[in-house]
Formats: sequence, structure tokens, C-alpha cells
Amino acid sequence: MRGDGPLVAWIGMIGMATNLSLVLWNSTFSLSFLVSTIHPLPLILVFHLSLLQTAQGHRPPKAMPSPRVPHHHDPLVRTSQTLLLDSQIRDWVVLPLLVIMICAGLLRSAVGRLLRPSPKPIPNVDARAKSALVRVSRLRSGAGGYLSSGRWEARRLAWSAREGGGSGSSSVNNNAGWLRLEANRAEAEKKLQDAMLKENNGGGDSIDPMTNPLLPGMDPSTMMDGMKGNMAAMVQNMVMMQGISHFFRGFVLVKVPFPLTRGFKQMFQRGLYDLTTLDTSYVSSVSWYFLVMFGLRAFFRLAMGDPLQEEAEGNEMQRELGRDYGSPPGAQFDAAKVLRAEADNLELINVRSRKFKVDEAEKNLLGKRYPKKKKVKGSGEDVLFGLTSGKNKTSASSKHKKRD
Amino acid sequence: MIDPMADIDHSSPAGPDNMDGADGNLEVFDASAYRSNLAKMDKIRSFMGIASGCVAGVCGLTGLAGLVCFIVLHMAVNLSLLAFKMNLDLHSYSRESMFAFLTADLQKCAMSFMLFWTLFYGLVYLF
Repeated sequence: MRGDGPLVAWIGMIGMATNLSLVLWNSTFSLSFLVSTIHPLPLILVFHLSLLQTAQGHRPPKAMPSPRVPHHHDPLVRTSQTLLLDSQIRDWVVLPLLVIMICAGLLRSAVGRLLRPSPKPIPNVDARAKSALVRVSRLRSGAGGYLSSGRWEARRLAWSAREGGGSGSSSVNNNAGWLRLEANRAEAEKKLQDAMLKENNGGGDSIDPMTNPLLPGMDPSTMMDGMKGNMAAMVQNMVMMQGISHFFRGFVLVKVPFPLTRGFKQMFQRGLYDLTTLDTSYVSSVSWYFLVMFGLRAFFRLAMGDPLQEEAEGNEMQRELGRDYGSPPGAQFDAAKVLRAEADNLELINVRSRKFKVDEAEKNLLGKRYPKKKKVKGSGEDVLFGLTSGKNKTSASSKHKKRD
Repeated sequence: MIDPMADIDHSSPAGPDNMDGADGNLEVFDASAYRSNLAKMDKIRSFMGIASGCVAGVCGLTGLAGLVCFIVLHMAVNLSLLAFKMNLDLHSYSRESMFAFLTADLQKCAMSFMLFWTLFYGLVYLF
């Protein structure tokens, strides 16, 4: 068992070398970045403190490779003092395991990146539809409040006006709003594509989205590729767990700093069945494996960035359609339908309830000093702007003078 | 670099900017800025988890004292994020409530805290 130490370390180093060569070949990861993210201060602290300990002679003699249980013959008495473990365990097990798992994680992400399919380009029509939707959403959101109400209304009409305002002869009326025009265009494109496909298929059978290369639909092959990455991770986890429990069996690895109940003994102290008085805090290698596996996730997020997010920002234009994980399978992006729905929504917005900051700018500026409009009974009053009719002209003009 | 279409998806054609709930008080919301803010806060918090693990391990805290140390440091980092970077104005930077902001990512940071706590405790006191 003790001779396996160097072997494992060599395996780990070979694994690290292959992993590094793989990622360098991909040239998406730089080692200097990884090194720079490891903060030197805790390492310096640890180094000095461990030096201090050796100076004070706390180390156990090398002749005792395994921790000795103090000589209590009463099985109910637990070891309450801190055991000092051999430093060879640290050198050949704890740290190499950490390094191996870091490399395994890097390998896993590189393999996942290789296995992921290249994103297909989305057709022009849908790209235009999506960009139109983004612009409309900006009008709807609070940013629209920075326009004056007249201009906002004008924009809304430009987007969503219905057809048939002027001439009714042609099917595509140029007075219609942009969204509706785009919807018509998308429908025409789709009909064209369908016609082309019908010609290619050479018959009148229905279009099968699975076998058709032109129509982008939900391919089962892309779903498989997504699962392949997950499978790789799971397989790797299981293989490593088996390997570790085979190689590193039968000795105490680390002590977890928090107390555990006796029930956990069986899980965490595999291979140490005879040490019934040993504190549950002293764990064997499998639990160290689990600790490292969960703990290194955050570390990888720091060191490598979030690959999904980088890809999302880089490949936006080329993201294939079927990749939206939230939508049910088989749902395609129907440009015409979505655009028309958006146009209808836009029409339905109640303009009275929105606040237009330009219109209220004077109120906001003057605050309490904003002169209130006089309530005048009778006709001749402009409801919107509070101006009064010719009867009270002098007061209105004096108000204007005060404001200026 | 900032792609204006970075937040469109099929299910909500209006994108995350659509906040029609509160009439008359709509938010002006930039999704890419929000996401980059979140990414940075995530980075800071995970780094803090690792560093607090190292601190707890080196100081030899065990059991409840270590957990308390972790929570205290987590809160301290979030509060200093709030005070120095957001100028005590949470709502213009994030959509969550104060409590959700202070306890965000607690579990993720706790896992890495546990790992580095065990590692450094073992390195310093056991080996």
C-alpha cells in the first residue's frame, strides 16, 4: 500500500500533462491566468505556520506511519485529543488528489467543449423578427418614458398600425405598422420555403421536420450531444470514485473540523472498521473526494469563467433555433405569429397610465413651486394643459411671467 | 462587444425589459449590465468563500466557531459590496430584496469554504 504512493503521483502528473496539452491545443485557456487567481496570502500563511510547527518539534517520529489510538481499553471512550498524522499522507495523498481533481475538472470542461455541436445559423427572417422585438420591448419598458407622449404615440403607431388606412387594393398596405409588415414578409418567406421543399421532396407529402435539413427544427441529435457532455462527467465521477477507494484504502486522511455523529462513521470511514473509538471527524479518502468535488466547482468558476455565458455572448447570431431549453420540444419560432401578437399587445397599452418624463419635467424641476392651475368653471377651458380662456387671460400671462 | 440581442428568447418575445406591472413607474433596465454585475458579484463571493475557508482553517476554528466565521465574513463582504460599490442603493443595481442579496450564493460558497477549511486545518494542525 505504501509503495503505491509514487505510482499515483506519477499517474496524476501524466494526467495533468495530457490535460494541459489538450487545453493548450484548444488555446482557450492560459496557465498564467490560473496561477494569478490563486491568492498568495493564505499560502504564505500556511507555509510559515507549518514551519513554526516543525521548529517546535511537533512532528511525530517517522517510525510510526499510522496514527496510534491512545491506549484506552474501554470502547466507549472516544479519542478526544488531536491526532497528528504522518506528513507522508499529506504529500502523497491529500495534495495529489487535489491536483488530480483539478486536472480532471479541466479535462471535463475541455471535452465538453469539444463534444458540443457547432451552432447552426438561424435564417434571416427570424433574425430580423427578433431584432424588431427587442426594439419594441424598449419602447414598452421604462425607457419609453423619456419620450414625450406625442412622440411615443407616433412610434407606437409606426410599429403596430393596422392595414387598410388608405388604399385597400393591394394586400400589403404601406400604411401598416412595421411589425405587421414583417409578419406578412415572414409568412411569404415561409410559404416560399415550403414550396421549395415540396419541389425537392418531389411529392405532396407533409413536411417532416425531423428529416428535413432546410427547416430548422428540434433535432434529436442535438439533444443527444447535450447529454453526451453530462454522461462524460458522470462516467468520470464514477471511475474516479472507484479508483480512489481502491488505491487509498485503509488509512485516515484528514479531520473535518466539525463534529459528526456516529451514524456517519460507516459512510466516512470506509476500511477503518477496527477503529471503533476513533472520532467520526477523521475521515477516509472517499469523503475527501466528495469534499473536493463539491468545493472545486466554485474554484473552476473563478479560474475558467462561465463557459456558457461567454458562448452566449459570442455566438448570439448563430445560436440554432431548437436550443431554447424552456420551450417545449417541437415548438418552432413562428415569426409571423409572434410579431402579430406583439403588435396587438402594443395596441392595447393604455397610454394614460404611463408617465412621460419629458412632459412632467417642469413639475419635477419646480416641485412645490409649480403653480397650480386655477379651477375655472364654465366653458373654454383646455383640459389637458390647464390654460384658461380669454376671460382670465391676464392671470394666465402673469403666471407665465412668474415661471420665466 | 455588448450585443443588444443578448437577452432575447422565444418564450418571452418582449425580453426581460418588459415590466408592465407597476403602471407609471416602469424601470429602465439594461439586461447586459445587470448580467455583468451579477457575474462580478458571483466572482467576488466565490473568492471570498475560498479565502474565508483558508482563514478559518489556519486559525484552527472548529465546529460552530468556523461556521459563524463563515457567515460573518460572508455578510461582511456583501455589506462592503453594498456600501462601497453600490453606495447603499440596492434597488438601482439589483432586483432582489436586501435579505436575498445578503444571503445570495450561500450554499455554493459554503461548499468551497468547507473544502478549504478542511484542507488548511489539516495542513496546519494535523500534518
